Amino acid sequence: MQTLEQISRSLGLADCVHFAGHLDHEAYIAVWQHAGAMVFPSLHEGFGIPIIEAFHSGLPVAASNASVLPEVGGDACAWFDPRDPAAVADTLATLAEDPALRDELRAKGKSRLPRFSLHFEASRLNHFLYAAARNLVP
Amino acid sequence: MKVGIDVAQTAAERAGCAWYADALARALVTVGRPEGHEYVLYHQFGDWINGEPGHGTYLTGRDVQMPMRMMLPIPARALWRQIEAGEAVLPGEPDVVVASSFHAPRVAPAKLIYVVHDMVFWTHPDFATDTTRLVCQRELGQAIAHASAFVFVSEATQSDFESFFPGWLQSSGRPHRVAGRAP
Repeated sequence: MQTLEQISRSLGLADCVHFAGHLDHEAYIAVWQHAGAMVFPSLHEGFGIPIIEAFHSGLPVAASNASVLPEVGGDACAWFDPRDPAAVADTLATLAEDPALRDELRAKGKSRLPRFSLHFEASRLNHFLYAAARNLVP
Repeated sequence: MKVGIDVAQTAAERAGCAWYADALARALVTVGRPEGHEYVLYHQFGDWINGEPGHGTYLTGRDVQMPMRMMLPIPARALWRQIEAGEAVLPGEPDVVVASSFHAPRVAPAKLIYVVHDMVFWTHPDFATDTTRLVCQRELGQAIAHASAFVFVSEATQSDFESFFPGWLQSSGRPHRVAGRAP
């Protein structure tokens, strides 16, 4: 993070970028509640839980089109190539200037949430475990 | 059925795989309880031995055992060495053990169900430290050697796995699944 802070300062962005560091649970929830959007420029994720958290918090999401993220975000995110800074900037500008797009992404994110129910997954996993315990191929 | 769950690295606060593993353990117990299943939580797991006991997922109920929750590191390490050598029985004697934090100890006669979160240690080796990469590849190798079944947290993770082991899931006959998405 120190490297990122140095880059931020060298670009003259020190007043615009805030590095929060570790947040306790209350502060973490407050960030979700007060954010205007969630931007997720990751190059690789196994799953991408922050996208689900953003949907849960009713935030529009702009995200990297790499790795698993499109699988999770579907049509509910504004996508960009994370290795193309101009594309990232264009997507953020569009999201900032287009309230209708933000509303559309919020609605799509909310409607996508039930697909990721942990109880649904736990129920399916329990059946899988039961079959595995008895040498049945699920 | 008695289900063992690796909770050695779980965290109730939001933190990626650790939070997911905690939430999944809780959800497994919630949905399995009415069906009469029992659960054994392992707070020390294989080569992952916590220096301070007492952390990780904590659940209550007559159908939940936590035999290693307060176990100190030295006896925990010694016990796991015995278990993996077949010289001691895994406490709780589960039918299956869900390994959700990258470690894949031998737990026979229980069946090990290995959760693959990601393959980033190979797809983007520069994202991981040497230590993390070595541990992940060693444990994945052990899972391939003796896990009874695999769970991939996403289609992308399964695809990454298959890019490194083309055809292995099919040819090995190991049951596998991608974490479910509700319709």
